[in-house]
Amino acid sequence: MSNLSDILRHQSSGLREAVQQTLAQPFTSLLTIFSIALALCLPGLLLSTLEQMQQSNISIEGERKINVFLKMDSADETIMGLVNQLTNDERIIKLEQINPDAALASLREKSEFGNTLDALTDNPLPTTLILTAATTLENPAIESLAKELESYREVDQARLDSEYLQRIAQLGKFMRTLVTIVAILFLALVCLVLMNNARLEILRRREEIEVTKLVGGTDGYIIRPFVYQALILCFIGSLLALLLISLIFSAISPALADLVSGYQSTFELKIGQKTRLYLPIITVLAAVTATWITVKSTLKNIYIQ
Amino acid sequence: MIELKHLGKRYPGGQEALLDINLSIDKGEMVFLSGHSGAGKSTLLRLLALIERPTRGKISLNDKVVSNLPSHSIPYYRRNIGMIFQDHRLLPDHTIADNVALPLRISGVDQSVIQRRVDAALDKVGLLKRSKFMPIELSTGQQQRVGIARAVVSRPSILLADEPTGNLDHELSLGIMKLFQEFNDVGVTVIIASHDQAIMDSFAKRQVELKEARLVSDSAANTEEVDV
Repeated sequence: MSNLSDILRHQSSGLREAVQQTLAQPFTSLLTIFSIALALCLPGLLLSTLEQMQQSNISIEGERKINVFLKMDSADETIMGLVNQLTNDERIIKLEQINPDAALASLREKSEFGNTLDALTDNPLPTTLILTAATTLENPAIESLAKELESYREVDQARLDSEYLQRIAQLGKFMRTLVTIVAILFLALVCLVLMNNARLEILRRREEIEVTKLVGGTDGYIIRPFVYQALILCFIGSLLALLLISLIFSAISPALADLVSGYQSTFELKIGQKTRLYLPIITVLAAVTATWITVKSTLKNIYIQ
Repeated sequence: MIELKHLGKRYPGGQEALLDINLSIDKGEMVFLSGHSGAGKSTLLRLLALIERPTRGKISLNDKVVSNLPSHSIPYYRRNIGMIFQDHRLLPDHTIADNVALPLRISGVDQSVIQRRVDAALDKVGLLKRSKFMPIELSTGQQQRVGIARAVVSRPSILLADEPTGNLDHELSLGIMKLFQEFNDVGVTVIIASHDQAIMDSFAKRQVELKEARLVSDSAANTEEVDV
């Protein structure tokens, strides 16, 4: 119990001194916080974007729709036969048939080409089947189902609804690698800034550290304020980075909304949960470790045991 | 009891700072280390405080060898020793009270106890009313008194003072030495390195003389080595 209270007292003393040091040099502290925040912005932006893309990928899988356009000259009996065959296929859980007349009426209603469509002597639209694949099917299986459908004699074209989103998913894989590399680089940058700060601070306070050692200060006593200061600066810096990312997302969201609406999709940029959680935690852990190593090794250069 | 046996210190460049020092200092004793500059007085104090390690021989405290203490134990050993330096080594951006409180903060003493003991130490050296001053606002003699207050605040059993009166006039020096004697009177072992023979002679205390890295005389043993 006594040991625990001793530990708590030493830790709170280190924390108090770290706060005092941070407040004693407000300009330097602010500069460091902003440097950390700016350095974390890019990986944070990428991480959040990636997270949103991954979430979109999940909703694509939920759609699992294949549009099957039949040939114009398909006879009703042939269509009926195909519909029956597909209805009994275990890989398909839902089938919706859209007749050419219904499709034309819908097109006339929704588009601005009503007059043009009225001028047509024949209905140019084919019979369309909208199939929903079973949730047990993976993306490659859905793709092969679409290819199989295209091989049918009465089918003109079978198109996956989410093709473009799948490309985004592929892009996501690339992004994941890119984000990891960028995150590591910028995290290293943050660590280097803090390590350099700690080293310079030790040199500036060399006399104080020497005296502290002479009157019985342990390395732990000297190191604790530095580590707590790194923790404080990084925590505030990462919160500021999240705020900046949020502002950037707000600024680019309208333009992005216009872009994705062209694909009949919604893709909203916001700070993801993982980013909110991992950005401060990983940054603080890395910074604390880097600072501890730096201070410990720099103290060896002070010629008092 | 402090015991030095065949103690030697040789620096990497080859310079011998101390050679074959044998010395015993009883608990509660007050000892002056005398000798010219470069004789090895400061080195001996640095070895006693384990700021440096001896290259030969050993240092024992209360029959326990301390010269080979592992590095992580040295701070705890040093908390039992009060050190006073010629240049005071006060922290310029801390108040007098904060300077004196440093050893207690390091030891994790409660704030209320710190306040009480800092006040007592500053009162003892006559600077209680200046506890909120910064070191630069005090005279050299007063700064040395702050250094003494810091050294005694954690109630160490040993005080090591390296030329504590080096920058002071005779009267101020006497005042400082009387302070040391007062601490010695209550049982603290005091070892003072000084080259001021007049000051040392003012106190009827043991004198150990160093010359060219060797111990050449010890008033307690009443022996004098000639031409070593």
